Amino acid sequence: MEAVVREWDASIDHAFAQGEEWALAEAYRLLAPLIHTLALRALCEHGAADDVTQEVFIRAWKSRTSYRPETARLPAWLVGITRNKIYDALSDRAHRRDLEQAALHLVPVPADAAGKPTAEALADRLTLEDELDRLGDPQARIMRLAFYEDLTHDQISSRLNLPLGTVKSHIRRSLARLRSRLEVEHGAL
Amino acid sequence: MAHCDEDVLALLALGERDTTAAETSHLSGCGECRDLLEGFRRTVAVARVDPAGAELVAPGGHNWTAIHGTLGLAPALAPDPLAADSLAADPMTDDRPDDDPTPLRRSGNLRPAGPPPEDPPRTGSAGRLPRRSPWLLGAAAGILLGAAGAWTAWSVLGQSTPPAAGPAPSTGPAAGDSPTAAVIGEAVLTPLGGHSARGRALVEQLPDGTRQVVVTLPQQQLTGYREVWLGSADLSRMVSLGVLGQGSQAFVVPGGLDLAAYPVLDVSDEPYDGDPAHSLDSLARGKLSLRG
Repeated sequence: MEAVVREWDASIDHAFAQGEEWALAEAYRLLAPLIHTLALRALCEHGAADDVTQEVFIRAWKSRTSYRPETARLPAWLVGITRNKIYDALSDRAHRRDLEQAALHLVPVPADAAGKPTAEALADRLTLEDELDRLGDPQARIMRLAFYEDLTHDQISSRLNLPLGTVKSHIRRSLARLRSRLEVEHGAL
Repeated sequence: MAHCDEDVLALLALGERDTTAAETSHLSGCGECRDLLEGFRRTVAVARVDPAGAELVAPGGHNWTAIHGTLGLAPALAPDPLAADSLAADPMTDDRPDDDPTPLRRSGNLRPAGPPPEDPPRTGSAGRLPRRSPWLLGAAAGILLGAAGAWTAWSVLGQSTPPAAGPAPSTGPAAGDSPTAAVIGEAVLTPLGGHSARGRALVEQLPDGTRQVVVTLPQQQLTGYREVWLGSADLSRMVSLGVLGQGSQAFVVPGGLDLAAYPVLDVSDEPYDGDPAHSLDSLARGKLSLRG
């Protein structure tokens, strides 16, 4: 589906954790448009979206020593901080209506009316990529073959030389785990 | 019928086959199975979100200014990473007029008949639109952005392993895979031309006297491969150190090479054409500041 080549790689995660400032600039370049758009859609106000964008990167940099590149990818970590900041901003307003509206915006809606993916869907995709990493192998491999190469469980079974039943139950358990990660991520609202 | 087999629901969510008549009928009457299937389907849909075509609104330049100021980041990082103008932060071109951005010359071991450096003639900052980054384009124009550039580059075969080759980027004399290596110099690598990734290079000296350069530059979407060079200040002489893989990597500096005479670290995009000369397409470059 997409190019296998990545612009983001783990070296950014590690450099960020080690306090190398260029990594923060790189994270900003690659993620600020997404983070800003998430905030703008949830808060519906440019000033508030700017505040969230700034707070996310400032907060992330200040707490970089608590970031563990071995256990989370930086994009997913930043998206998590963004969701918290958006929630804080909405709580400050204490407008129930805003909360409801934001909840609407932040549930996974894969595409807008024109069929284009929403910022929220992209953010969820990042969260999910992170959780895919955590599945470990062979689960992560199985799920990537199912998601991105459209292989049936039969084909995956012969490709990876695993029993059919094993592949099936891995798929079911992994899907359930990915789903609950997404739910937890949205549970803050 | 009894509840649907959950394994089967997972396969249905993945679209492996259509529901049978019996399943359809059960699902229409059973909220529990329906919810399960829907949850799986939403998850699959998220996993398969195609980033291409997403419309994002880039934050204005004042946001980076505020972050940069609040955190007291290095002055070299002051330009908005999202702005096209930040690409001008090449230490080699700082004192040159804007319309003379590329000091690489076709001499020495540089390809004599190569094409001119990639950019068309520039007409001030509006002409500095980079080739490969719609985000930058959008940021410059202040419009909705298509995210295709960066997002299609996103990991699909996601991996969280550290860089494949070489030591991790060092942060001091005792870092990296060489616990006794001393850092004797470094360079910030800033993007050139239409490229956007930035990184850094550390020069380390090992106990046996060997010098190595540890180059860290995030992976980019390229048609060729990445080659690391040391160049003289005017780039009329270039020495190839080798091929840069993903992430961070160490290169041995030839023992007889005087780094003071080759202070420029350059990473190029090299086509698979067998030509050993520099392609003239530089991805990023920085000037080494040597200690001691």
